[in-house]
Amino acid sequence: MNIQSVLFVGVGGDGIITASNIVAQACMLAGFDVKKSEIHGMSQRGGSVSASVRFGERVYSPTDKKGQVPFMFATEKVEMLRWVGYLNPSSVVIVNDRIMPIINQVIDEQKIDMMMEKVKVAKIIKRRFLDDALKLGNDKIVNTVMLGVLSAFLDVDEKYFLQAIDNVLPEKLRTINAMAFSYGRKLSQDLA
Amino acid sequence: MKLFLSGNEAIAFGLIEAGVRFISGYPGTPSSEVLPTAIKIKEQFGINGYFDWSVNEKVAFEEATAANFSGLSVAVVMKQVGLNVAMDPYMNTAIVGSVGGFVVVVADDPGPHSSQTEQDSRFLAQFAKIPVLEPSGPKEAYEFAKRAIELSREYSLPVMLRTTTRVSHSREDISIGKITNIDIKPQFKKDTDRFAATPHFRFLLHQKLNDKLKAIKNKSQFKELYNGKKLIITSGISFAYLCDIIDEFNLDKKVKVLKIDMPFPLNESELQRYVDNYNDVLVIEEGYPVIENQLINKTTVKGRWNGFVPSEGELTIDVIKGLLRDFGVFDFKENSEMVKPPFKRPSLCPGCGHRSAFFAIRSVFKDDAIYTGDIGCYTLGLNLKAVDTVHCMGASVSFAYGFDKAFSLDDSSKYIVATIGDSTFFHSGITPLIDAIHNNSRFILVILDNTTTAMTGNQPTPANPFNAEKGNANPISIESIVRALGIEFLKVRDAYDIEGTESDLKEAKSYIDTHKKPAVLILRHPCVYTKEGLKANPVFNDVYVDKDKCTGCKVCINRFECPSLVFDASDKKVGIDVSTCIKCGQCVFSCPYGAIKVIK
Repeated sequence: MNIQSVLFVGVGGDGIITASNIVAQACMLAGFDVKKSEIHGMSQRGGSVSASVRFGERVYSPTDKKGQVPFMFATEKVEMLRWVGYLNPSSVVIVNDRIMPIINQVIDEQKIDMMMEKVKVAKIIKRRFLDDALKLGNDKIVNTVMLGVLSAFLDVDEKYFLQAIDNVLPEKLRTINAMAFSYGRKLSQDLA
Repeated sequence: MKLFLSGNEAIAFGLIEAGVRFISGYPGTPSSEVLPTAIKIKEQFGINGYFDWSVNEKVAFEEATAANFSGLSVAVVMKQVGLNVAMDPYMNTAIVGSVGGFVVVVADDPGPHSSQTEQDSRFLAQFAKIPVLEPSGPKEAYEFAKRAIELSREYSLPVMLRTTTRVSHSREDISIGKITNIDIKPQFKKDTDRFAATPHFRFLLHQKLNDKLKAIKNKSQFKELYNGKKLIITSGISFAYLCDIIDEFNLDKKVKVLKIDMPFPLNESELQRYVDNYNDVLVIEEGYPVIENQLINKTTVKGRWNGFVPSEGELTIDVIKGLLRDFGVFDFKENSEMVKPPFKRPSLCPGCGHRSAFFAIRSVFKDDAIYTGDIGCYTLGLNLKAVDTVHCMGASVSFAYGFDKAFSLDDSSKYIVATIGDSTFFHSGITPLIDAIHNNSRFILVILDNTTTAMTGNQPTPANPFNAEKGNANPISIESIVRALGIEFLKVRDAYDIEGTESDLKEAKSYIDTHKKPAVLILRHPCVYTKEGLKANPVFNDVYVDKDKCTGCKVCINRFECPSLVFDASDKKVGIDVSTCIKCGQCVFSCPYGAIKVIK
């Protein structure tokens, strides 16, 4: 099996590191060799944050090569565009349909959406996942809903993700996140 | 026990497993996680040991050295520019040698991602004549930490463990060995010929160091991989990238890889033997040409000396892929997908007290001052045009002194406002302030006290009543230090009190004009990025923009620069982004038309 990888991108405070830890853990439970890298940028809230989870039979590099990332998990649209160079025509992108304001700049959302449409990938699943999370009663589980969607594309059994959620998150958050994950997993059938 | 560890966490496990029971250091990205992990291990496994942050790297180094002279195995942890601060004790410890195991953990930051320089600490290992081990990932970081202690014990000299950002901040599954309590019996065998050596004995110690190096060099080994016709000599994270590319593009029959775990000291003649056996040789190493420069004859070698390998920037996996193509190993087509999303510059967090401080400073001095800044979150005062220089830890104060004395030579007397954080003030801001007071330098020093070392992940400062282990510590009062040094003009205020700060600054301005002496303001406001800081932060029920009053002049956005202030293109007025705003209401002061309003 070739090396698979998920590139997580977003801004500080988004929960990118936790989301990527869950995926890394699930891949390990599934028996893969896993390497992960994190770039926190500077620590300020709202700064660019990224993480790579790479898994396969034997993985050497913790970072991805340009044009070779099969999956991207983006919590914000502008950050997704910043990392387009890592994607290729068979990549799948899951992106939360929202924009974080950038200081001193007027962001034309229509223009951003047009730029996204022009990106040559197999699929962009763009959705206001925050609405899903709110429907489930908690805005904090938005990433887990997205992870549920992402999981359907990965060669990792669903049970490992649920186990990873148990392993990575504190006890009081497990039930609601497991529910959010399953919701996202089901959602993937409608979106795929 | 298998754990998914970062390089830094793995180093802490390796060191403690190998018997290290004293670790000191100063926080700095990408090195900061080693020491806190050691504390976590201590708590989890109930082992003995002393692990704590020091006031700066020089002090950390000396503290660890004394613990080492007591027979303890020790480590000192810092980022690459931290080693510059610790150079004096570092060089000397190499000459004197270690008693038990002594590891100098240094994290380099090629890129750079969050540093002033891209310097390669392996050069400083060579400079001090101590061995350096360079792991290619977290697993090796764990193993090399243990190896470094063994090597250090065997030869009684400090050993450097050099990582880079990608090694420190990547993760992999690692099988951890047993962590058990060890008997610590500190003893100091007096030996003045060594520990208080005069120059005559220094010469002898130097001779000893050279002998140790020679012995280590003769034992240095190279790992051979693959069996192709082109030789690539490599080390560290570059090795991991190289293996990845070789594996993916099936290049195992085309290249031969020589992996070097210890880039210094190298067995040069042994290395030259390899080089002489190949027509095509490429050296790939992250940082400076340390291995390359040790080659006896490099005329046939492709590397940095002939411009084949870039001499600045990070050697990312993509850069190395390009190097292999240029080396004639394979070919690929560049991905041409180019999108240019809006650029995002780093900015202080919404609600940060530093922003209010800079806003007040800028309001009083406008374009009429030189603003000397320092290292920390508040470097971003440059976005508010209240920072003109950022050099190294503590330089805000010494730069203020230097600018003042230079400009006073022709009586043009410039206003100078220096800004420094609390942790940085303790680190190296006090000594230049002594100079400034002693020599009547005329400037205003603003100490931005957010009661934590924020930039590197909220480590405690000496002003906190607790240490890294959350144990009791004596809080050191910044105002007491400043007063004791002889500062007569000192004001302490909450940074959120913008109007009060402005009036203090005006007063300070006339004080330095009249007295030709430095004045100090301490602007204190806890970091809102910490849980405690955010919880204690004064908030309003609502902060909103009165759209009738807003003229769309953008003064608030340009001058206050809070990420939560957003210009709405549809009504050409400013709005507040509720998802990021923490309702501190500080932006109220920034609107000249009183359009930003709060509800209590």
